[in-house]
Amino acid sequence: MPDRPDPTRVVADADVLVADLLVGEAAREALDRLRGHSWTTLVASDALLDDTEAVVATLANADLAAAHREKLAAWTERVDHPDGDHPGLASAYRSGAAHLLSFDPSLTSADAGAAIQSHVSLSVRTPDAFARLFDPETLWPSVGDGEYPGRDRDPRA
Amino acid sequence: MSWDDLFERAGAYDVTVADVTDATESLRDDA
Repeated sequence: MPDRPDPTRVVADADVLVADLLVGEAAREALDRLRGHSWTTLVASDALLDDTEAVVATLANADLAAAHREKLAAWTERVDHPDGDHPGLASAYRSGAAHLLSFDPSLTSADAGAAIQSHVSLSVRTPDAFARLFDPETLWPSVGDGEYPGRDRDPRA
Repeated sequence: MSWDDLFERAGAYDVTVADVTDATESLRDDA
């Protein structure tokens, strides 16, 4: 795994991926930042996609869950981790992602953040906090030349 | 299928963030 986290690599835990689809609001706003910039990478393990599909099937239906998984599989970069690991945390840790998005207070609290930071340099944020703080224009000089070109991809395509 | 198409299909369901977090927690607790 990489020595330093990459600020353009992001993991969204299953609750955020499901909320993006079924709720919208902050989760969709956060993930639109990534959908709209081709030089960012959303990372997910198969276990993370399994959890996401299962929750969508529970709250909506299996057909929508399968279509959503297919879309996510095409968008995300796959990462492996041991069975039994927390899919969100392990996907972030194993892929060198700098950000993990979650609604789970056991991950996003200050105490949890300190405990996680003692092991790995990873920022765990709620989607609304990520949408406020993740600034593609600030990151652009580390990935491209010239002025920030703005969004380079339709986030709803 | 585009994201817009998926979001349109998903709009038929009245789901809150609390529903999502509860369902995710329940799934992982049962695993």
